[in-house]
Amino acid sequence: MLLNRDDWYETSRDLDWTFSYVDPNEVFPASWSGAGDVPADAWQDWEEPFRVSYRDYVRIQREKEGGVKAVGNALSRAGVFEKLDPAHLASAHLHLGGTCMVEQMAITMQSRFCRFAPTPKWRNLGVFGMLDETRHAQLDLRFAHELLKVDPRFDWTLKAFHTNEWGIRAVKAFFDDIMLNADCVEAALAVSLTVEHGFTNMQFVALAADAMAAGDINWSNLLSSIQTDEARHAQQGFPTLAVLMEHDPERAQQAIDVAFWRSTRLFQTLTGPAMDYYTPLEQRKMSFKEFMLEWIVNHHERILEDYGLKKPWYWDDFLRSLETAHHSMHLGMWWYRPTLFFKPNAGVSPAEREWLREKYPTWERDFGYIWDQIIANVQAGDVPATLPETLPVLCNVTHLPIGGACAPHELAEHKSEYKGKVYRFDSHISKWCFDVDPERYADHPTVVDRFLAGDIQPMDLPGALAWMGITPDVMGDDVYDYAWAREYVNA
Amino acid sequence: MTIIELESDAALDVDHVGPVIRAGRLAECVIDAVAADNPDRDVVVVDRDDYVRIHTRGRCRLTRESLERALGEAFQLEALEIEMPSFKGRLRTRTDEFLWYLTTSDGEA
Repeated sequence: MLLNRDDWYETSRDLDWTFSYVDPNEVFPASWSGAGDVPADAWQDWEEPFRVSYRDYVRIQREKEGGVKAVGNALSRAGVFEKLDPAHLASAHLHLGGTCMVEQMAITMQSRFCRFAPTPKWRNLGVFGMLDETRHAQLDLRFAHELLKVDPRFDWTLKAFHTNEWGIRAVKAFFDDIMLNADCVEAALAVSLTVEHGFTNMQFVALAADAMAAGDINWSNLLSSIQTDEARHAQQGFPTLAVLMEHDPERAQQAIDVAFWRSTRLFQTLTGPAMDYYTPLEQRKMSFKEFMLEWIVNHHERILEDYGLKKPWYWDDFLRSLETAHHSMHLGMWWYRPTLFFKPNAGVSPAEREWLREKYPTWERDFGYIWDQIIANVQAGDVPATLPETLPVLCNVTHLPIGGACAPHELAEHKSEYKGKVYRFDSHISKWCFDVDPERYADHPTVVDRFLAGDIQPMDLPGALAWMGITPDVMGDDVYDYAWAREYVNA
Repeated sequence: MTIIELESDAALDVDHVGPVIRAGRLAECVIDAVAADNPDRDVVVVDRDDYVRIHTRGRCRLTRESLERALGEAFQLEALEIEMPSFKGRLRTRTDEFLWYLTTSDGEA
């Protein structure tokens, strides 16, 4: 009689031995394991919620891969890509440029789990996580490579992280920190729990639903297939959290509160505009705010509470930011469109504006008058007046533009002095992130810090664009060539 | 026990737990299996066209036996993952049963 997996599972994964001639602390240095003050035997309680055996893993991943390839082949024959709305394409450009190399970085993080995690059960799961992330980076590259012949912006899937484009530098600053430079425990709390169990659902499940409605079946299918891996390996975070809640709950709370805010700001930049402005109006399933309430507030946060974590101390400000922060970010990104490697949709035609008013009751008051001025300038034939001449101040924690992180008209200065230098932040929350661990952020200059230091020459917008690697073939512009603004002339 | 299909903009109960399955035949069968495996609870279904939330309050069981009956063929629960981009709640996976749960819910059994 064959044993079923439950019978042999525990034996197969407990591949550990007692070191006789090497100090265990040298084999698993705390600087990599992150075990800190947690007693060594506490890790025996680490139990993975989602069991995986190598035989099942190979069989299941093979089937997933077959599904993604079959859909891709069928759609490329049908010429579906050529029929997509150009506004939607910005979501795919932004996604692939902003995340493909994060998947690649995640391979390194998972391989660190394989080698240095403080329990063999976790090291075992790290193997699968490493293979998952390899799959994701390769899937993105294959998907993008097939589209290169019709759209050079897909080259940024591979290229973006090798440039100094400001948004990409913000993504890189976050993941350099929590994936490449974090010990196993911190990476589990910041990446597995906060990003993979929480925020990636916004992009890989919720935005995938928008993309499916927009007819981009291939990309939608790719996203949700990737998230089936993420949902499994994100579970490495929970037993780690359980051990920390027992032995060092303050550390868990702080690491998660920092990662939650930094993720919020990043996804307000990545997913917010994609959902509320780039997805064609008729295909929007729900607003960014509604998806955040579903996936982050209802789905994610409730499980953390079940482990005894408190909501982040800035919870009320986080909820307030859902009303406006991504609208501020979108306005800024559209305004600074020459600094993007994709074409953003302004997304404020009369019909789109009505949708925004319905979903966000204060939108018109907060943003309408700014767009009205832009519309007036376009109608007067003065497009140059809608383009930037200088650069915005960037936050020294998030590397994103300062202005409107919690509400559009709350522009009080947030700054800290550390070792004789002044650092500036987009909010009191980012300032708190800095103040509790300044070494982590100090001396990582933003694009604007470099500009002011004279690293970028000539010191003007063309000089900055050249430094960021923005070339004419990918430089951002209004995707509909301002047709939406002319609709107001006839209204 | 009832299967309740929520309007897409209806507020979700924070204590609901269970799988999120990509739309299709498997999702329909998981709904039937969850209904059979949780006779004391309402099954709440939220269909967002591309993905379907299939939840019960506090504790949600899914057995291989019920899912195979709904599908009409053999199925290994591990393969649920292929169509499951997310799930809500703590999880415990065994060969014959997946269990999603909360330890601090009044719906916990």
